[in-house]
Amino acid sequence: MKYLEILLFASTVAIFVFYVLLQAFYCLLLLASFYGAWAQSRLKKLYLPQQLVQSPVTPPISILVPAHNEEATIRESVQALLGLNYPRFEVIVINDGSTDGTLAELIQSFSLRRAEIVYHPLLPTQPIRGIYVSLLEPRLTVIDKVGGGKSDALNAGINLSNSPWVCSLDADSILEEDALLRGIRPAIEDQRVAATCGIVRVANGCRVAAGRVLRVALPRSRLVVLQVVEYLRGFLGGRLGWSWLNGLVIISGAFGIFRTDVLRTIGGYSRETVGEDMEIVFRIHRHFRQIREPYRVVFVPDPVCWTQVPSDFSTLRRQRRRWQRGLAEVLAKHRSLFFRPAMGVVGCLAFPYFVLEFLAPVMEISGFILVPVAWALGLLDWNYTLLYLVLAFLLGVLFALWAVVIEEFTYRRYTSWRDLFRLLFFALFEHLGYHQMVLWWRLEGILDYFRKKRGWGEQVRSGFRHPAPVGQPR
Amino acid sequence: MPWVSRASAGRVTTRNLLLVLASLNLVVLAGVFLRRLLKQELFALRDAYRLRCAAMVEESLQQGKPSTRKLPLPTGWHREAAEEVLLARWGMGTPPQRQVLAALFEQWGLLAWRRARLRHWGASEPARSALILARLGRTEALPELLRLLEVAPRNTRVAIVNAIEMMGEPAAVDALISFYAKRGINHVRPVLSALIRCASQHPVRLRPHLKHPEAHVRRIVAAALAEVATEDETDCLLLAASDPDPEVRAKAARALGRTNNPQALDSLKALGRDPTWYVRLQAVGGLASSRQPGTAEPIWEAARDRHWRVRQRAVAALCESSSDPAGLLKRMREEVKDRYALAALLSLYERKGTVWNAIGQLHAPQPELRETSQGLIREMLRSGALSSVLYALEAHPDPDVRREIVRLIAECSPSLAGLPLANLLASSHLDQQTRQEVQALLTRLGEGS
Repeated sequence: MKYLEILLFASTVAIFVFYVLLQAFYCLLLLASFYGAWAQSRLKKLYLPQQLVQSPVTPPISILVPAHNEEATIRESVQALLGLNYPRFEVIVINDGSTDGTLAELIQSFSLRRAEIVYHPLLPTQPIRGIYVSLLEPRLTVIDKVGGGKSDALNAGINLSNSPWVCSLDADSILEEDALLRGIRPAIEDQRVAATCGIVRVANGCRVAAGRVLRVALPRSRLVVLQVVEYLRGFLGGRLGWSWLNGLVIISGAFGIFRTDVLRTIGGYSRETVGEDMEIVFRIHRHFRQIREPYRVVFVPDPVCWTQVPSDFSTLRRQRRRWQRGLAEVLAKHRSLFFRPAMGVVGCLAFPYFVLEFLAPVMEISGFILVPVAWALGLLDWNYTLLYLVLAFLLGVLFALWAVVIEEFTYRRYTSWRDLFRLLFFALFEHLGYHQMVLWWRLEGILDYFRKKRGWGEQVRSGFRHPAPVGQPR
Repeated sequence: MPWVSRASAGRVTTRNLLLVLASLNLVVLAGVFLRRLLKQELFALRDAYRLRCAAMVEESLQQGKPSTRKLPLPTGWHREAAEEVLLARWGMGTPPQRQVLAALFEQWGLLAWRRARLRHWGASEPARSALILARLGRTEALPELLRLLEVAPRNTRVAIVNAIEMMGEPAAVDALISFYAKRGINHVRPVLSALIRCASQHPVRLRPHLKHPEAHVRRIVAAALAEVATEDETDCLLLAASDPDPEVRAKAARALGRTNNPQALDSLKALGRDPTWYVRLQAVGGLASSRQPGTAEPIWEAARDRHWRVRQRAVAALCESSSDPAGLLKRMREEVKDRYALAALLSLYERKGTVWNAIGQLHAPQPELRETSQGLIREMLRSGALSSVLYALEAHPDPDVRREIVRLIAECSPSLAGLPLANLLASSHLDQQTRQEVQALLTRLGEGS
């Protein structure tokens, strides 16, 4: 009995220390994001998009759109991209071994024809089957290649790009008209910037036409609104804070802008992980620290990329398992950075934070198991436990509310009172049920990692034109 | 349970913390609602005020002179609202309308207010004022802006540089370079853009700075000259062409091309043999933009360069200057004998639509057009560039064109080697007639080989 008591005590202390550390990180991010949002809202008034459009120094950008079975969305996405407000850009769509009619849809919609285009195989990729140019739109190029995953497709796009900057996108994402201009602005203003990214917002529920978001609104689906709160917390609470601390280690795969030469020097996207968006940022940090060159990786909250999030449990579960597996793969690959002073904020703060994030499902679910065990053994002080649980809940609510506060005080995309009520309501109750469900899926993701599961799994798109009914698989 | 009793000691602290957190959450919740309510009320008030301003602005524009009616502007909030209306109208105004709007700015005291705000204690307000004054073209505020440039905090410096750029005053060149030398090293692009704008009419202002002791300053000056240099800058650029810093040499090469001065030709040729690849790259660009005789041969030489980017640029320059695509392709194949240069040329033809046009004109009624197109396709087949030609066999809508392609393939390919015609036969897009022709060709070529 005594040994069991000691074991329980040790576990409780471990969970408590873990919890305190994680909450300390959250508090730090909360303060940093608050300052970051305040500074951004001041600087927003100093931005003149027209000046950037006319400037001779605004760099050309290649927009890379990896597409795998995106027949439903690809035409609209490409049309919207071609309508972006940016002086010099090209769109490179990479058809990554699609088995549906993605390529045929592109050929038909944009009068594509196969062409002899010079291609530099600087980064290794799966074989290229053909390169197509458009008779209607000279800024559009399509690479048709054997399937090799998103990283492989992006590497093929980098090989074909002739621009000093590349923007990686998801094929089903919608960029706002000024998003490229706003996204590249930090890089134009500061020579040290190696990569930038914008905010990814949830498009479910919004009115979309011709690849543009016309009216922003929350969807009916409660599952999606909970994800809206999560996204707001992740971007406005997390990335904004990390960016201000110069420790940003994730640039979302849905929208990121990178220096092409840096991507080529570090060997492009890794094809061994599903967390390629995080992995590449770690390598960028590592590269610049090694060559001892000043650099910055920046998050800018006003260029907006709209994306569809899963509206059913099974797709969401697959996504979260994949994300957790990706996190595990990246942390394992870059474990040498852990608490390495030479890596600065990335090694000493960001990496340990993500280790805690990785461990969160294990620790929290252990807590859920330990409480009944301790209760059964009569070891539990109910008053204290209740206080502790309420405290954890209130802190969780505070962090979720904080993101909504930043949104409301700065960008205010959800203009109706109804949406504001719903956002706050779901921010209040996110920690009752949804959070635990996601934790479980993340735990499954950890198990997937140890089982050495590979690949992205099946993904189904319906397009913005025909949104699937709530609760139906997309 | 010793650990339970120890833990209970902290219960009071936890309870207090809990109360604080609960209150904080409530305050945050209430704050969000209150803010939304206030904002809506303020927005409504502001909109009403803006409408009043807009009515006065429209009245003034219709009269062609500022309205004599008085507009009360008691607070900064009112001034900002009025300013927003005027600026929105300024953006779409004609020059006479802008005169009226400028007069309204003065009459409402907004100009004086903005100039006073240049000395505001905050970081963003002076920068914002600088941008607004620059947008209105108030060049008399330039000395104040240049002073701000020296003292502005890091996050608003770029806005001040942008404001100076908008003014485009040549007098700002020295101050911009001095700022860049001391504090602006990370802001290369905004400073360069401002230098180009300010020196566009007076590039002479940049000349003395090409002798600056700091290499990074010489680089930005040379880069600006590459966009604005005239023939008068040739001498100083010739000196810069022998600068120890390769980036300065590279920019000087580009600028020398712009001057279009015959004296620059020898220097450009020498830069075309520079050990640094990007100097050679810019030298090719300079040679291409220089409209002097005798530039073709050094560019052909560059098409054989050891660096692929230089070869690519040389090919682009040759493509721009040539009116005979087939002839250029032939010479490239026979003389340069470099697969990359050949691929780069074909790539350019493809992107310009030359190849697809030629394919479309293979069966044109005009014999001259037909022969030119056939010449290009023949050269492509001889160069091994089959992708688009074979694709046309599958996808071109005109059967006569497809037949012509089969004929040209038969003419240019003495054997089956390197021809993926068998793969083509597997395509489901191939029509019956073309399939038969391709099969006949395969048989014929098979016999030949």
